[in-house]
Amino acid sequence: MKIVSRLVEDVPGSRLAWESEEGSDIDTAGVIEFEDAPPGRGTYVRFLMSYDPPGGAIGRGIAKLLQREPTVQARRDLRRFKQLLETGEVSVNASPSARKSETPTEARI
Amino acid sequence: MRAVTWHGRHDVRVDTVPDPEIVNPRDAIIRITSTAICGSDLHLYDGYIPGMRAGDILGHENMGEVVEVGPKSTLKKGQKVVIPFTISCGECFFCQKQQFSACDNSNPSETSDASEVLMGHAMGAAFGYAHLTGGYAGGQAEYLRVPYSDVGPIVIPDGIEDDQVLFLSDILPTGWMAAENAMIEPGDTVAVWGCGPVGLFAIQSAFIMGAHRVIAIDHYPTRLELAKQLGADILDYNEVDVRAALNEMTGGIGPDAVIDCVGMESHGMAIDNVLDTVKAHTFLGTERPHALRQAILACRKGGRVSIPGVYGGFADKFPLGQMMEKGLTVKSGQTHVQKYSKQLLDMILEGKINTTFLVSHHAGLEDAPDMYRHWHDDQNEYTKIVLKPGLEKGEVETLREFAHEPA
Repeated sequence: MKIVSRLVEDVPGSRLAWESEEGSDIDTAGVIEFEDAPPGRGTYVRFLMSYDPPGGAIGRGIAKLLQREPTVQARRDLRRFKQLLETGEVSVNASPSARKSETPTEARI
Repeated sequence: MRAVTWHGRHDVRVDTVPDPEIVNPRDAIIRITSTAICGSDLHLYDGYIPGMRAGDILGHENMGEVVEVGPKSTLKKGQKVVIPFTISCGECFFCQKQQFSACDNSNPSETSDASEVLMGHAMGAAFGYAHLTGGYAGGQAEYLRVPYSDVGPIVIPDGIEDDQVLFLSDILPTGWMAAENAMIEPGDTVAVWGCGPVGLFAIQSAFIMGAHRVIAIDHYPTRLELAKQLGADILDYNEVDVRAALNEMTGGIGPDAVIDCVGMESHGMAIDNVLDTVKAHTFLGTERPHALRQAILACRKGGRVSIPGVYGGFADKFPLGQMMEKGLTVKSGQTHVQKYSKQLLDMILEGKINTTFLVSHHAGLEDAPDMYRHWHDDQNEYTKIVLKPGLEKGEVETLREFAHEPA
C-alpha cells in the first residue's frame, strides 16, 4: 500500500497539517496541534486525522480487530511520544513469561 | 531461570523461562534474594483480577542484588535493593505530585488501553499483577527486570537481614498510607478490618500516628493474637456482633476512622457475602465487599474511611446513602510506595517499626505451588510467606508457633 503525503501547513511550535497526494492508495489528511497547558502542566498535543478506509466500515472493523486501525494506532503512538519526551524511553513490558512464543525483549500484549 | 507462573484459577507452577534482559536505558536486572507472597496474590490465585494470561510470572514484593544495569540506571552492581511494587517513571505529572502509583507512563501503550476503558484513565504499572497494570513479569523468580531503576529501588545498607526491609516493597508502606489516609487525631479510636500483613502494619502505623485505641477485626486466632501483641483490642467476628461491639466500646459513637484491609474477597457467612460469592462464581460480579459495607456502617458520623484493600471493578449493594448521610470522608488508592521509602527505611533502622514478627514461613521457589495453597487454605498458620530462591526444594522453614485457641 502506497501513501504519499504533502505538508500543507507548518506553523513552528503550534501546527502541522498534511494531505495525501493524487494517486495515493488511501485518501487521507491530518493535523497536529501543540498548545500550552495551564502552568506546570506541559503541552497539549492534539491529533486529528481523516481517511477513507479500504473496504469501508467493514474494512475499518477488520483493521480494528487486528489492532491496525488508525484511531488505535494513533492513540498508542501519542502515548509512546509522551513517554519518550517525559522519560527518555518508550515504556515496554518486555520480560520473560512461560509462553514459548515470547522473548524477553518483545512487548507482551 | 526458574520462575513461579500463573496458569489459571488455583494453578500456580514453577517453570523454566528465559532470563530477563536490559531493554531500556533506565533498566536494571536484579538477582532475587527474597520475594514474598502477598494477600493480593490470592486475588490472582482465585481468578478475581481480570487481565491475567497463562504463563505470567507472579510476585510484586521483591528484593535482591543488582547484577546488571542499563546506561542510565543510577544503581551499581552488587548493591542490595528493595523494589517497590509500583513501577513509576518519576517524571510525569503524577510522579511529580508524589502520586507514584498513578504514574502515567509506566503502563505500556499496548496494555494501558484496556485499563482506560475499565477505569476511565490508564492505570499505573506494577510487577507481576495482570495486564491491566502493564503485564510486567513479577519477581517470584531468580531474576527480575526493573524498569526506571533510577527512581524506584531502595538501596539497603550492608548488614541488614532481608526480612527486616523486604516489606518496604509493598505491605509496610501500604499499611502506613492506610493509617495516614485515616487522618488520625489525638484521642481517636481506629477500627481495622483484617489482620493480615497490611492490617498488622496499619495497626502499628495508627499507634505511631497517635491513635488512642485500635480495634482489630478478624476470625483467625493467630492473626488476632499478632494484633493483640501490637497493642490492639481485638474482635473475632465469629464470636461477637462487630457493629454492636464497636458501638459499645466507643460510647455509642462508633470509631473515628475505619480501615478496610480486607478488599474484594471478604470471608464470613453473612448473607450479603454469600450472595456476592454466588455472583462472583457465576461471572455476575467481581467484588465481595462485606467488610467495607460493615466498616461504613460502623464508622462514626463525620468519620474517615480508609481503603487500602484491593477492589477490581463495580460493587453491588454499596452503602452510598450511608456514606453521604453520615458525612464520611473516603480515601483510598494503590500505595505511592516511593513517597514513603526513605522515611520507613529510617524507622526500621532506628527500630521504631517491627517488620519481622509476622513472617511465618520461608521456602524456596520450587515449593511455591504448595505455599500458594497453604496461603489460601491455612491462613491461621501461614501469616506471611517469604520465598528465597536460595532455598532447596522441601527446605521449608517454619518460624512461628501458633495459637489455635481463640485469642
